[in-house]
Amino acid sequence: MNSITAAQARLETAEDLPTILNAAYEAFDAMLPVIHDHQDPAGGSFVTFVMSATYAANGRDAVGFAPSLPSAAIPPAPEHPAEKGSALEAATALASLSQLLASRLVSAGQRATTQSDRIACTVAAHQATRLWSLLAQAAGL
Amino acid sequence: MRSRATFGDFATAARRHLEQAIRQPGAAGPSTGTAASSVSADEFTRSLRRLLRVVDRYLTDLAAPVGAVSARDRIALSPQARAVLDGREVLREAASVLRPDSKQGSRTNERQYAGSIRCNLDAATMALTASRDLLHTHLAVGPAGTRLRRSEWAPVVTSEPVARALLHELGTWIRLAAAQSGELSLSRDTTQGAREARSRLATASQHLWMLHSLVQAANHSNPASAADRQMLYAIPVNELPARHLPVGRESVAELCQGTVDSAERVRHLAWTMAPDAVWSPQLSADSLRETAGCATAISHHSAVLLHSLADRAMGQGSTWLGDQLADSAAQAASARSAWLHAARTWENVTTDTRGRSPVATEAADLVLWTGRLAYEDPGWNLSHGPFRPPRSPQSLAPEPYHLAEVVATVHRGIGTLAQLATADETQIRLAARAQRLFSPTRSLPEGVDVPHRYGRTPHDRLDALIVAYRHAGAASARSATTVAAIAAEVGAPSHAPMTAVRSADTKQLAAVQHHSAFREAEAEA
Repeated sequence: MNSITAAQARLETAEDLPTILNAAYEAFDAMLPVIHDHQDPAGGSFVTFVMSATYAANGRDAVGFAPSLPSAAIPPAPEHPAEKGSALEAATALASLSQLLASRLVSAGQRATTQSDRIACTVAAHQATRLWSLLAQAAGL
Repeated sequence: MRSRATFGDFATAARRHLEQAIRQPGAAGPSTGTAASSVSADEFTRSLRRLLRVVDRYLTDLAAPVGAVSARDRIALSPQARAVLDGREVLREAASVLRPDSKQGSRTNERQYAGSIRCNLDAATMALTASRDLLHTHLAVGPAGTRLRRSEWAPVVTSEPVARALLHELGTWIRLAAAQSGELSLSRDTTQGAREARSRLATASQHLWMLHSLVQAANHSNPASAADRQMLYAIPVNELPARHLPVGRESVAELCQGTVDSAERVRHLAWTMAPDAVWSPQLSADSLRETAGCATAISHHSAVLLHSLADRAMGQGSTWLGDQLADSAAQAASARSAWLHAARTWENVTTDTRGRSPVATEAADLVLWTGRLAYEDPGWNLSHGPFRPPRSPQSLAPEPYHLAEVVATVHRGIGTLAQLATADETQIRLAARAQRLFSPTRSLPEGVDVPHRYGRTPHDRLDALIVAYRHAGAASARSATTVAAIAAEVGAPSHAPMTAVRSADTKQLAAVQHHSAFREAEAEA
């Protein structure tokens, strides 16, 4: 769960388009191992977490094709988190991050000067919104 | 469990009309003495000619795989093929006997006649025309006159068991037509025109009996089984059910029908998309990833449903059935794990296009339908939280026949996943061949130097993706087989069509791959 908090902090402080895109890419990527940890068929929110993973990967790929995303700045994939927390905690943290992602990507898209960046931001924001609507309801937000 | 017209609907109607024509009081020939006054042999001849034209088309369809074979070489053919080719010649002789001269034709055209026998014969002809048209909705004619498949049912339509069953049906129709022609040829109308018409009918009847004997002989040597006929009768018209979503007030029966319709849409769309993977912008990692996620959810719901049904069967005292259903739930859970692995494998692979394909949209609909069926909450959706219980066994299947209906529905759902895995694997292979698959650079091994954010997907990762789909397909097929056995045991209505489609699946995808390879070669040229 620390990776989610760290990704959220990076996204909050990002200012220009390349930094926002980079933070968004990392945020989507950081979500995946957390989501995997809660894909438990006996857990009750199995389907929610399965579909969340597809939306997170789709969002990451959309950002990945933005021309303004700095290729050299992408750090190695985050390590698997040691503590996974409860499904409810995970859903709450992920919903919060996806809400922030949607908001930052929408504003980044509005500031983008190229069509490809705008499309990438719009598509990624759409995936983040889908994530948020899935997880927020599961978390009872 | 089905909402569309099938071959069986029209064939049954045709048979009923032919049998009614035989039972008409005026059709009893010389014994009643009323035939001459109530039935015009001329008019009947014209109707019979129309019927024989349709039968001729059926025989031509059946002869298509054999092609033109001289009478001398027919000895090497199967009894069915010989019966079709020889029978068509006999039928054409019968039709030529019935062809009137121009004088006769103009005279009979002036007559106003609406006898019930002729009406029944014409109605039978219409039903047989409709049933043949129905079969042809699954096929198209290619540039070189070859048959192209237009649906998942196409391999079933052109399969040997269906050809066998169709020949058997033809035999029945011909027997009824021959009997009626024979009886009318004995009527007491003594006018000159009627005598000529009766004479033609008598000759035609002899030819038809000869044709019937040929078909009978073929049927004796390689008889059509009840399963063959069931398969033929189950072939539906190739019309995709309209897309619709549950509104939250559906009964279990309505949810079952919605699931069946949605499953068919998934199969149809996956089947039609597969050959276009080389170039189609609709092929995207987003779609394939989401489809794999949906397949995971659908197999999860299938496992939940089968568990509930197992509890219901146990509660009704059927331990054997309960055990079978519990085993099938475990198989569905295995399919779920395999699909989850496939979905995760996509996380390190992407494509050159983004967006959601119609298959992914429809698969998400199927998740919703199966979820509404599996869970008690009528408003269940993908955001389903951890506190919503599965539907109770009593509410799912209050009576034993409800259990059969839900088993049939699960069978269709899980069988769809087996086909989806095969179709998606085909898409992945074609996309890889067209160099449309990429992986994030950061996820590649350190030694790989790619100056971009994405590089070509390494072979080992591609192999892992294909293997994941193969496992998902095999696990889904195993699960479908287990549920099929239960479906057959409880008399669930899904058994014949799904078995037919599944058995034809391998051939069908081979054809898709061949077709696609042909297109690629064409593009390269």
